[in-house]
Amino acid sequence: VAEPQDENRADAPLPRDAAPSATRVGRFDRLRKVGDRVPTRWFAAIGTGIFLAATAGFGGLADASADPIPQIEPNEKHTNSQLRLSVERAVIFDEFPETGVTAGPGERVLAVVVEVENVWTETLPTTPGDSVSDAIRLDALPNDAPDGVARYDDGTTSPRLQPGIPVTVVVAWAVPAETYAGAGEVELRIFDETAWTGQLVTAGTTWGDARLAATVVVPLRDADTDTDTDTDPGVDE
Amino acid sequence: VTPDAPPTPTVARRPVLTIAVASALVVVAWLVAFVTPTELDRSAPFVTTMSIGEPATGRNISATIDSVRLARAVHTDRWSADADTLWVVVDLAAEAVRDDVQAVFGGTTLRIGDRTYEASERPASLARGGLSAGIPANGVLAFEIPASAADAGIAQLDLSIEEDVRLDSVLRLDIDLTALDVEDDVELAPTEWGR
Repeated sequence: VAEPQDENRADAPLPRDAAPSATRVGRFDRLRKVGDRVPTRWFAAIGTGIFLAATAGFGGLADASADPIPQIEPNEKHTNSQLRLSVERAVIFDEFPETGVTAGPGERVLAVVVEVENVWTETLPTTPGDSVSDAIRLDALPNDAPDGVARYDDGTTSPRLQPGIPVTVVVAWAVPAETYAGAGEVELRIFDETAWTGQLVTAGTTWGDARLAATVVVPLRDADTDTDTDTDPGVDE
Repeated sequence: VTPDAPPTPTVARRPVLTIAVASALVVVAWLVAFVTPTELDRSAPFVTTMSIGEPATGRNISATIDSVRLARAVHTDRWSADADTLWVVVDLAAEAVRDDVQAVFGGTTLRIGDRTYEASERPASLARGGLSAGIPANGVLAFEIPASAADAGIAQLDLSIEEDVRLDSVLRLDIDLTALDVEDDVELAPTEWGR
């Protein structure tokens, strides 16, 4: 096949291997003439135009609006591939050592009652960085992981969640006393995590990459100023 | 190569031979790929099958299962659970074999279908406790499972020193849960040493 620049010269000789067959030469010449009519120099402009039109069709170059984070009700179940959980209520204490959380100077203990079920196939720990400890954050202190997780029924601290068994746990934070002073409710953020299976130098499956999935606002009672004794979540020992 | 040489009969038969050899190589390659151990196989544990009442020994663990029971509720002298779950209670004696410096009973799992349950940390039990070389610890392992899980039938009990069982010994017992009577309330025996 001849080089493209050959045909631009009027006196360009026919390619040597094409010479014996006149019909083949004629066919290639016609093809080249059709090809010459294609405005290749406009391809970039046309492509850019199509790209811009498509972009405009999808809303232009402005930031796409993120999906709104759904707000769930107290006791409403939120399910992801790891956990099914619902947040019941919150209570704030001066001291609540049963959860394994100690309030420092100027701090109080915020305890959130959560029902959680492990919907995965293996036992999940609740220690910091795992399952429920990664799934819930306070909206007011979004970077603080829970300081303690304990079972509501027998007070086991950092309980392990067996597959398919719903458990009521108390998730607790030591918070600055002024953060929830006089507050009647607590907003919480609920996160979904993705399972990662280790390969080559790592092994086993771990959960990570937490993404905000829902928010929930639950009523908050102050156990130490409220005379109503029903507010005590009462972790039995 | 001499282009003038007349074609020989071997040349005429070559395509058939080529196809045959190529097909054979493809089949052999498939067989090799089929029997090559995967990464999981390369780190698979060494399994010793247990039976009730018979001592079984692995690298650094030896255990004798005395009995397996199924209960709706379990209790110790200071703890009880009677939620809507089932408990698989395993009475056993376990000891380390080679050394007990880091012999923590870390691998105690019960596999039912595609779910794996760990021995519950709620009651006092042998789970995650230290084992001694030559001094058997008699006690229990209690597994909390959903009430519907026992219908699946076969459960696989795996015992090991480390939670990570890659290239280590696993003592395995197959349990037919449907063959067990469900007891109402089982008292979990406290751990005794050197009995």
